[in-house]
Amino acid sequence: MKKLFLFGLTIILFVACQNNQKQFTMTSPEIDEVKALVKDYHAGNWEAWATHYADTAKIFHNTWDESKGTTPEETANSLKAILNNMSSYHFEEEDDLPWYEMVTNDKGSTWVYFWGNWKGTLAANNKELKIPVHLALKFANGKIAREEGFYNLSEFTVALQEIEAAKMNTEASEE
Amino acid sequence: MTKLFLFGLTIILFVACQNKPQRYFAESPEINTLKSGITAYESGDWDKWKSHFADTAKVYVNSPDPLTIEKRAEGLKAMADAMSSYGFNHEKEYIEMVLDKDDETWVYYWAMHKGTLAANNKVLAIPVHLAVRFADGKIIEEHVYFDGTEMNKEMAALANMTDSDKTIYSQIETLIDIFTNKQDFSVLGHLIADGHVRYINDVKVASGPTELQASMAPYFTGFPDFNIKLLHKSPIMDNAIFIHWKMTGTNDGAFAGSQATGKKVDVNGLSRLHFNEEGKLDTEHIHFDQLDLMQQLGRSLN
Repeated sequence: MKKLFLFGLTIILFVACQNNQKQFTMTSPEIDEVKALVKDYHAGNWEAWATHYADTAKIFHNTWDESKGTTPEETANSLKAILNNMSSYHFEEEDDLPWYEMVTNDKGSTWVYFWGNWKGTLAANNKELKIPVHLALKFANGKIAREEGFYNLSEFTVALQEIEAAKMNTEASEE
Repeated sequence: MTKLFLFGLTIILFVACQNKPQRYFAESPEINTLKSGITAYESGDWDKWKSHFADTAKVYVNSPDPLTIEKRAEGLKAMADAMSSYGFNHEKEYIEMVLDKDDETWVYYWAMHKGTLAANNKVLAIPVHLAVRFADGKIIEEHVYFDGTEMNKEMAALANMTDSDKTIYSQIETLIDIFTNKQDFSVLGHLIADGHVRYINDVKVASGPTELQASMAPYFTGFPDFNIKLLHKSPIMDNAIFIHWKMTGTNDGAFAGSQATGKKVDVNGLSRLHFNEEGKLDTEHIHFDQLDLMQQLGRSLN
């Protein structure tokens, strides 16, 4: 009887301990998946980039409107539309950034969190932009099932408007 | 022997578990502090908001360069002043705390921020993420992530708004919030031009402040809780604006020759308002379905 009790206790402690440890980590296959995603983003390898997502993945950048969730392909297109204006871009490696961690929340969902400072140079005028980015990526069966992105595009939008205005001025003076 | 082994294993597991502290928390005093800071922000209690931060705290708002608490408070206050209402959607917010590998305490928050611009009633809904580091119960570092594109565009448009447009928007607020909804006639002198004319469904019903007051009196008597809610506003063109509104009220007084019915009514309508060069209302064309209103009160054409 005592043996059974001890055996039971061992199991309980083991499971409790595992759960405790599983709730927060900075190393996991899921984190490696996000690191690979960022690597493919840096390389502009969009085919490889898309493989990190589940087929049914929904991506929400700066919106929580469920009807505005985009597929990986649609997201790749809008990211490309931004990056086409840049002569170079990358997430800066400084101090602890980019930072990756994974939590399994109380509802049992697994999320990888990413924080990084994006740096890009506008091809038209060599202006440098620095944009802090946060991504929360929900995993299911080893793939990204949902992604939520939070970052400010305000400066980028204004910079593009300035470039357009400069172009119009040049064209006007040439006429 | 098996018993001894199991006993040993239990001890080892127990100690190992104790040595590895919990690193994920759905509840904690720090989470409560952040929530209290958010409440202070929402009620505009800036002293309380600041009290949750260490004096030397750094706030990074969409930038790798930090702001001091004073500067951040100034920025938030300016934004709050431009809004008629603002705050997070607490129905759908996420908050949690982790102890990272360096034993730093971080609280993470995700929620939708909604703000209504006082000048034009535009609602801006922006998802926001906060990553907040605590030490000794105070916030020492806060990182704020959101897309400010729409808000900056609106703020720039407001800064470019002419004084004349600002006057017109403010007069519309007075017309709806003070004159109509509070039934306060004292504002009419400042609001209504001398040659003012009001048409309802193309029939002239009032000219000047005294007649306007008299024309509204039956509505205020028939519906003591008479209320107009502004639904939409057009841009201002040549001192004129279209507004789409909703009237609600409870028929607790005599109206249109009938005794009170106690019925609740709900009618939408459209008004074209024109203001003179002094910013006073000189022409109102109001259109709404009068038959619908009477039918809601139980009247019919027969």
